[in-house]
Amino acid sequence: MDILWALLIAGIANGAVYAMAALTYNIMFSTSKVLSMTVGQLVMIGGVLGAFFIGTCNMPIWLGTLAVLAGGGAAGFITEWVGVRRVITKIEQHLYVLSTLALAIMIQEPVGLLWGTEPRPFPDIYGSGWMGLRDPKYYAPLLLAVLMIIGIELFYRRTMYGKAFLAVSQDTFAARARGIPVSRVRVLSYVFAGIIGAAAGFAAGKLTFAYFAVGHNFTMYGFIALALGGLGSNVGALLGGLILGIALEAANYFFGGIYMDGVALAILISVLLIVPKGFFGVEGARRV
Amino acid sequence: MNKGGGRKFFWGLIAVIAALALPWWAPNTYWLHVATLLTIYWVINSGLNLVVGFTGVLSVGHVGLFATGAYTAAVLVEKAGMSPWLALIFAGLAGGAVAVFLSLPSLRLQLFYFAMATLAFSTVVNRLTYGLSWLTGGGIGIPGPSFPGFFGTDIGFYFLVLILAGFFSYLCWNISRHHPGRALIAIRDSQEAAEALGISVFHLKVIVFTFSGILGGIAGALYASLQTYITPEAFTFYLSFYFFVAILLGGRGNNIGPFLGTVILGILPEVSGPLAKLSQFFYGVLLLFVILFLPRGISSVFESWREKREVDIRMSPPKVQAIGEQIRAQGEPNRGNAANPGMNLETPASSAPQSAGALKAVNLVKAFGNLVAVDQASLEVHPGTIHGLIGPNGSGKTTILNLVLGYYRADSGGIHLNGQDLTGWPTRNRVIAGLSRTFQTPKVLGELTVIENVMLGFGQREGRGFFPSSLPLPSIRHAEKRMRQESLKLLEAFGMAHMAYHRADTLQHSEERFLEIARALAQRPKFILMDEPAGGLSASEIEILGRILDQIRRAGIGILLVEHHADFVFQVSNLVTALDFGKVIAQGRPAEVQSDEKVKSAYLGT
Repeated sequence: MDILWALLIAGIANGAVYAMAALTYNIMFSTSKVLSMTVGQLVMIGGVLGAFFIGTCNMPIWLGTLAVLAGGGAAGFITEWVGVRRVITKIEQHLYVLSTLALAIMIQEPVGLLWGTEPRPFPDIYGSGWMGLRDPKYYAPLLLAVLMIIGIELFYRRTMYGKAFLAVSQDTFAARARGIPVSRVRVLSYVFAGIIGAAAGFAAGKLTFAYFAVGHNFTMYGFIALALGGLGSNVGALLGGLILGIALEAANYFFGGIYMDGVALAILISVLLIVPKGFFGVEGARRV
Repeated sequence: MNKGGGRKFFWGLIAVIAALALPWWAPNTYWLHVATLLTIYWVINSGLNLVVGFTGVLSVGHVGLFATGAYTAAVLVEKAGMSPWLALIFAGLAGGAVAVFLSLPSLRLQLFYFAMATLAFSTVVNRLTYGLSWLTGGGIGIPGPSFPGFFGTDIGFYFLVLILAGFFSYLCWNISRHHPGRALIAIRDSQEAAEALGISVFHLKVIVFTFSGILGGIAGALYASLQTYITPEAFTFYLSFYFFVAILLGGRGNNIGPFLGTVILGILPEVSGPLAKLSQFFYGVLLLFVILFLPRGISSVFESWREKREVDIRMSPPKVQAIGEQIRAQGEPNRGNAANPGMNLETPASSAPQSAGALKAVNLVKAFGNLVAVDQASLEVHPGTIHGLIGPNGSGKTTILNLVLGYYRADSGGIHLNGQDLTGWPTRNRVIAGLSRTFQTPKVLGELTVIENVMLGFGQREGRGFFPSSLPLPSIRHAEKRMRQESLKLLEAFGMAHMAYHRADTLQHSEERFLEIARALAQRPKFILMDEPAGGLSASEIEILGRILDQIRRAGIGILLVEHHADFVFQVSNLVTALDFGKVIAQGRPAEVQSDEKVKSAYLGT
């Protein structure tokens, strides 16, 4: 029984991180219709910067957190500026896959060189001395993910700027015709996404360690969570992330860790083929 | 086509001699090792190039297939004591089998999703090679097979790899210059055009992916032999990224560029220490640079230089009579009565006595959400006649055309051709049954030459399959030659023979329109569905178009003409159907429809 609890709790903890990665996808997608390969790298940056600012530079936790979020925002800005802005105006729609993939490597590699290619410990931001499953590191990601979703929904519904985001996501041309600064909204959404991705990586730092190579996993798992939940749905992203997290832990327990990615791939392909809109999708999978 | 052929041959010969003599001019065995490694990389990349560069399918996980081959060979030799030669073959089969298994579901997905699936696939393979340590040796690794005798030596193995690479390059080159190569580019640049040309898009994608899997598997096995010892660390995503960048850097739709890309990108980290450390970052920068500034790759720089000279050459007036003669010369036995040039349809279409061979749309309904685009529309097109379809903007003309060809599925109603029910058929089968089309915005394949576009049309009937086309068979050569000659004749009739070897994206709009008609004729259709063929043409060009349509009709082909220019439609059509809000409001001979009150009010908005 205990082991099942452990499995569930670990699944929810990891799943919440996947959910936040999926949120990152969603926010970028909403204003640009781009699925960015840099999502996982933003999460990775959150973990590595957290360990660097708080662990290496000995910053106080509040300051370190702010610095991490600023770093994530900057990375989001760079994604938009380098990898997206010039590409989405071109006729060929798939170029963003390549430009963001290139950018993902360009973010990951310098981190590997400067920070090292081994996982390094993440500071005890939740205090020390926690035992076993009581450790807040298992619950912080879920709490943060829920807060994020509430925050995003409030932002979209209650603020003028949030409404501008929604307008751009529904119809860019109409939004531009109404005088909404579409480019600025897009840049902001990427900064915003960068902050969310980095916050996810920061909250999950105790689970993943500060490791330069975790990005690919989060790019992948975040996307699978998104596919499960349905592109464009934030609540779907959360549920998709949790389902995926628990499914992977179950696969780990029943089949062994080496089959986890296989299960993830099977989930991805079968969901995309059988339920292309995901379980909570508001926006259907586009035809190429 | 033969421009610079001699020079190409000369440089090719130099390259082959340099490659063969490499063991004697390489400074040391290390460079022999590097040369062998890069040649192995080219084995996988020559196949991947057909997938990425020709078909535009973004597989970022080919390292998974490479690893599959490497471990298959190593395990079979090490654990089962198999001969390394046999293991090499099995590695290719394993790569191909895994590629089929991966691509059958995932190639149905759209582009980004497919890229993500292949990325996940490479992770899966990597995880398995770590985890299944009883088989693969896990993180410790497993010895790679070594070949007996001469091929076990450094030099011998280099020659083995070189021979195989040469052989596979030859296969890929054959594929790319014959019908399948053109079909792959059609899939990449316009899936709609590919379907209209009768290309089996999904099958061809699976086949080319499988072929690349076989090459990937063989390359992996060779890699295992070269490294003498393999661990999962060698097969990370980085390697895939290198494969991928080399191809995109070299430029799509050719073999030389990606080959040079593979060699140059592979050598750079070897000659410069700092670059080795930063190589992935550097590849990333290169990829970004190519995408932002040279989306067609480095080779496009040379091409655009060539294009500049072609830009000023325009088509000459089509020889309208010759077009009709060409169609008749090609002969299509199933076509309607061609000896009936001045056919007058005295009776309305619905009760037409000569309904044999007709294309019929019966009670078509198509709704997009709440908008009913086509509402109970019926019409018939008879062989050797022109059926005009007119209506205001948004009245459902193009939707009907798309329903007839199967681009959309009708909510209800049916499509029949010569008594055969086509209703549930995919587009490709309808095309093969004898329908072809032109598009509202011409979908000419710009990166192919003018003649290659027409050859794609002939390829529907005469093009040979993927695997046969890779071999030097006389039948392939003859089919290719015949298609080329027929295309030239057709282009001659259209006044475009002198620009046959120009890239089609140097054409002007009107030339694209005529080229599309030529391509559709090359398919030897029973019916051509034309979507606004007069759009953007000048008055004199429209006049020529009218005479061409008349020739096509007289040769026995039926035309469904969707057109905005009502005058043009009334002038050339035998029958006219008028649509408004998806409903047929009038049908009959041009004069009748023209004077119909409902038609007048629909057009004048009264």
